[in-house]
Amino acid sequence: MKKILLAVASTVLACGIGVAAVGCGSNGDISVYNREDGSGTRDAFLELLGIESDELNTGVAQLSSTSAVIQGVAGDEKAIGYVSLGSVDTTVKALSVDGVTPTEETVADGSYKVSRPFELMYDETTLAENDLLSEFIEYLKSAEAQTIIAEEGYVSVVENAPAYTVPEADLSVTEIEASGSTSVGPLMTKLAEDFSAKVKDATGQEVQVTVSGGGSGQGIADANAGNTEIGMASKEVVDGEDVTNEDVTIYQLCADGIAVIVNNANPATNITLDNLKKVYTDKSLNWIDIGVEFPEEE
Amino acid sequence: MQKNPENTETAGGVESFAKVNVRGTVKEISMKVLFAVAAALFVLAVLTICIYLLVDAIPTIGEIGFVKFFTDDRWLIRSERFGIGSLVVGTALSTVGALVVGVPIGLMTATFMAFYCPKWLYKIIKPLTNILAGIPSIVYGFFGLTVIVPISRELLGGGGLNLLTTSFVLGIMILPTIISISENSLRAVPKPFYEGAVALGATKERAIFRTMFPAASSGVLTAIILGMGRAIGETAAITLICGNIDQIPGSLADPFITLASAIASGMGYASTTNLERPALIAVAAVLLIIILLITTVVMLLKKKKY
Repeated sequence: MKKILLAVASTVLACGIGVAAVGCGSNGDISVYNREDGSGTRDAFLELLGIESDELNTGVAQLSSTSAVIQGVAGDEKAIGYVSLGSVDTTVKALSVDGVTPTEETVADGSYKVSRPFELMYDETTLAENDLLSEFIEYLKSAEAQTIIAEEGYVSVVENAPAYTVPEADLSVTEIEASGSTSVGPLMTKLAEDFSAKVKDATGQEVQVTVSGGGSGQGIADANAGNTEIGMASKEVVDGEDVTNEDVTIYQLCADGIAVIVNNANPATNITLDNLKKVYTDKSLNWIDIGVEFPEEE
Repeated sequence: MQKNPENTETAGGVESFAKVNVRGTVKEISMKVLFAVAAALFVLAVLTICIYLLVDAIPTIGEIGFVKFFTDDRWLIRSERFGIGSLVVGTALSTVGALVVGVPIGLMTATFMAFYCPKWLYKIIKPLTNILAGIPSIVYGFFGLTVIVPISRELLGGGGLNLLTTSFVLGIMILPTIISISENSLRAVPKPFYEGAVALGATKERAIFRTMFPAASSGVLTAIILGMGRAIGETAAITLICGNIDQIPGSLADPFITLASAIASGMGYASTTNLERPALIAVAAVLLIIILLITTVVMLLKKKKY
């Protein structure tokens, strides 16, 4: 019994060490951190970089929270990771991308590349007839909505937003629907809940903003055809090109910026979008391959 | 059993309840029903879990495709890639790793506790193993993340979330199971076995390893297999330290994923409207089947004496 156990144990150990010795060296020295499959941040990051999920360099870890990624990158000199802009703290360093520093301003105006606008589309004629829709749009432009947008980690694009004034009388419409991008969906749901609660507090009326998915393309199509009151898209929507219905107005709800973070000991301050894409698709890449030279130890 | 009317209340054997006075009979019947209900509830719970998982899982696996489910090399539920190969291999490797770490330490500790340990020290070590068993697994995960991961990062480079780290932490986690069960079975071997061996001229070590261990072999094996069961099903700690990468680790320094951690990390987002959540349930069913097999092996081993 003992001999068998010993034999099995030592064989496994020997194999393990052998594999460990051989296995090392095939991978580059960049510790790539990802979020887990299904995370909104990951989806956005991959979409912005144009990476398919099966060509992604899964790297050294797929962590299930923003704080875990920050903690991982903070403790790993050769690390690179990504988190939403609002959650970057001093334990890690956010890189500029193509020379543009990620700030609320550069995200809001779109000059920072790893960002995307959250666009809403609604029909002006519907807006005039539908008092719930016009009330909701007014709410979305208010200071209260901007607070929620910031709390959820997105960048508000409305300056000096006015406080929201609740309706005094009951609204004639009690239900509207927003459809489209599943990235905008969770934020929209939060906003809709807060809006409904505010209306209920003021007038006692139950109103509902239903949020459904389908993707940005669906959101644009729904807005054009008037299938739903609000179309949602998580990419830039071009009037006259994407939006073919002349009555449809495009309103930017907010912007979503993703910061590329590295360890504080990393000498890099900038990364090009091309190199970023390479890092996240090519396992064998080293920091030196993208021009980052770590100071010699000792 | 002898029927003794005066002694029914205390010796109250289940077999003798019919003979006694009415008060005792009612009391005993009602208790008997209560116990039966409790047992039935428990059996029902086990059956419900098994049947629910299997009934849900089989059509899902059929829909994914049996071959694809077991041979696709990626586990990307968002892209409808449901290959559990890397999950199964990851689970197997981390379990083997845990055994490599845990079994030698556990068996040696059990030997020490059963044969060498002075009484005063035993009074300290024994509660310690119980404490080790009682620590919630997420705490082991944090311990791994804050203590073992940085060390592993120093040693092997990379992120530190890898097979080595996980094996080490899991090895510690299965220690209490291995120690207490194998110690008990070593103690259960009748003293004359040991005395006989020594009387025949064996040294203490020889008596222990050549006589006591073979005599207690089924108990020791049970200990190892139960430890293995714990390692296979462990979730909270592993999810924190394995890295959750759907690849077959090429070295001890590589991150990987297990069946349990894939379920835990996928559940937060999995949509019920497509195959995402059903696929996770199918993985749970695979995990359940593996654990059932292990339990069966333990039951077969238990038929032996020590």
